[in-house]
Amino acid sequence: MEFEFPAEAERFRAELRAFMDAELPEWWKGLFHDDDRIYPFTREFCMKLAERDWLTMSWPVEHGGVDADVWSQMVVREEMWAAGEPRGPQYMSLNYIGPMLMEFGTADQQERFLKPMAAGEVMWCQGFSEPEAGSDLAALSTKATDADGCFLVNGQKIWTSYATAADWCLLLCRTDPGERKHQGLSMLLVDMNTPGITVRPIDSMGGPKEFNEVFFDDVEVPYDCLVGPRGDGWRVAMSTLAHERVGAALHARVKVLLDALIEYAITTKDENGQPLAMRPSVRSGLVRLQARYRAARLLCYRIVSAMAAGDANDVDPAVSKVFSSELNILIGNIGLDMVGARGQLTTGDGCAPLDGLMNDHWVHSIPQPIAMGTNEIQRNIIAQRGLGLPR
Amino acid sequence: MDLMLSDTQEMIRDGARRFLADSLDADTVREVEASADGVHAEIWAQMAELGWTALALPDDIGGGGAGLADLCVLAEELGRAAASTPLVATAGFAAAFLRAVEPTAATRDLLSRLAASDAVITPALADVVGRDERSAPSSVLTETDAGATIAGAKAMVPYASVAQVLLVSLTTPDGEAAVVAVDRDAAGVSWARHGATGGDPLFHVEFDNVDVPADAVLARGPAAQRAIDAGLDAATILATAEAVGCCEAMIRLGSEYASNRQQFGRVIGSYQAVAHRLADMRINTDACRLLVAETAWLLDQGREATLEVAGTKVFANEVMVDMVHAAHTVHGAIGYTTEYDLQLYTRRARAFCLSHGDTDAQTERAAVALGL
Repeated sequence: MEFEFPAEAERFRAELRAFMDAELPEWWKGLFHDDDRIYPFTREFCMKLAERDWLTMSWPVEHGGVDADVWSQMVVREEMWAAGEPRGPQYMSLNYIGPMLMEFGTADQQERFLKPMAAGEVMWCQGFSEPEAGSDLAALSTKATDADGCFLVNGQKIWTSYATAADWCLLLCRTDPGERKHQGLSMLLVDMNTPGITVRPIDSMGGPKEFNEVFFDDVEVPYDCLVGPRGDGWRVAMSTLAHERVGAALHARVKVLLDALIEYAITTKDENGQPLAMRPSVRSGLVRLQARYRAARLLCYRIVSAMAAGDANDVDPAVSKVFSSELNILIGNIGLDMVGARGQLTTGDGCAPLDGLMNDHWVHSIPQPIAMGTNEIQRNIIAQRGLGLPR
Repeated sequence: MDLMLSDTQEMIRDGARRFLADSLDADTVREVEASADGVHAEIWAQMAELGWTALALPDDIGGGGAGLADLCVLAEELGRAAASTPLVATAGFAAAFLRAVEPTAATRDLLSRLAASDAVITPALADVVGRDERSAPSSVLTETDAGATIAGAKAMVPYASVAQVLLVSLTTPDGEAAVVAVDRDAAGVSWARHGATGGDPLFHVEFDNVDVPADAVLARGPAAQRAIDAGLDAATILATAEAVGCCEAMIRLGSEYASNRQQFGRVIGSYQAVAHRLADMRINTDACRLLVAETAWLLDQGREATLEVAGTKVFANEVMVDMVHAAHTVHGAIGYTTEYDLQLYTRRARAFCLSHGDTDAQTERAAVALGL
């Protein structure tokens, strides 16, 4: 066992941090905010990362990557998530849409789609969830039927992040009847500029643009945009989602918040002139968070270690996802209680402690146990595949 | 960064698991709990013969040359089997303490006895009135012409009835801390077993003006405190590894029970209310094990790790209290009976949370280390 990053990865972390310090503008507060400058900025930022070979460093050389070691990849995920993901929607293409194409795409598809991803020029969104297919994803009903030399897509997707900005959509839909609901699904690559696509933003607690509904009305999709075998989309989707969970470094943001809270507790005095850090509840809260941060980080690293050793399993990512997302909830609540009444004031208000950092985190932590497969589904995976309990 | 077990650790794990499966069953655990000494003496003797008790001592004094992280793998297996052995007291506390004090002929002799696996050396720290092992001792050390005399009493001394040497914390008339190695058979030493929840036999030990030679005083003042901390840090992490083993046994029992017990025409493990509690036990046990492994690794590197030791204990205490009750909930009434094995583990896990630094004590240590 070894509990330190390789020296090379740490050197790279320092270099990456310096680059981000120089590139992130004053106004940047994170991807999930209501600001029209965000998407154009993330595209520019990704193109600069691409120039340095840092954007697709995890990819193999033949697809425009540099075959970086797994710990340098972890450095990228941690630093980006800690800074509010300045790569914008593109983390999806890098972490799992690209790798999915490498696994299932034809040579032509790889040539056509991977190059723009590697250059940082293209944004993707993911069309999986539907109003009646959330945790029960295989119950989805968006259909692609055979028309005149192409598929004709009709249906509706929901909770589609970044759909207003995306150039392409990874669409899971039903192409064929099957005896079971997991059969007959196919994965399509859909140009978001195709006529018949309507995007309607859903106003949410996280702002007016975090999620969208996407409607497909007789949308023509060429046959060469089918990825993987027709009718075998479920397998493609499952492989994609496995990459998605490995890609998350949810603990990295916790470290930023924890450091801010420790500093705040030491430097802020209560009504008796005592630092907040002297309160037993504050001491206990911060110690609990610090230990849980360490655990979340190690649970994430365990996945990577196992993959590097060729010993990956389905259960460890589920364990990590539950623990880290619930830690994000916990730090939001402990942090809000610690800063007290003014904690409810929002970012930009002069009276908000830590400029509303904890309030902002609390709001954006709410979807974490729900997104990427709810924690209840993850617990089912742990119970059934990890502990051998019956379904 | 590599979180996979090393080849050596896999060997230790597999070897220990086989050995304990062959030599220890739950009925034996019950017999030993009811015995006067409360120790699995044969298991301990065989572990000594296999060199496991001296595994983490340096090669040059005859130890196994492995680290605390490797010893933790063994401790987890002992926890899975509910074995009661002085591993935490001897290979944890005593070994780390003796390596942290100024070396003398006396400490070298004690270390070589540990390396040769022919002594049980156990800490006698907790006071009969103080809160825990770190509280200022009320027992006193008085210097005499021939050496020193000690007087007072200690509570919760593990494995005292099978120990050869007790490492006793004391206060000098000047108010200074001191630690003395006391021959357990010296005149004036007497002991009586406490009734206690957990798996380690604990003793009330009295020192009625016990004379010790001058070189038995192993450390004084801040050096004594530092060495006690070093010993307790190693013992805490090793004990947490044992408790992780108890949790693994609770998960195993719970998963088996939930896969077989039927109610309302279905096995109860198919209900999410049951399955998810077991899933949470899996999550928190994995988290504890990784915290133990990282902390042991830091201690093996000689790094300052107060924050990590204390934080690991705070986390383990919190989640293990939950796990104990989750395990009982999954089992229903049967888990409360003594004929069922669950109680062997839940009692040990709950007692662990109170030992080696309770939540308040370790929270305060971690808070100071965090700069609060």
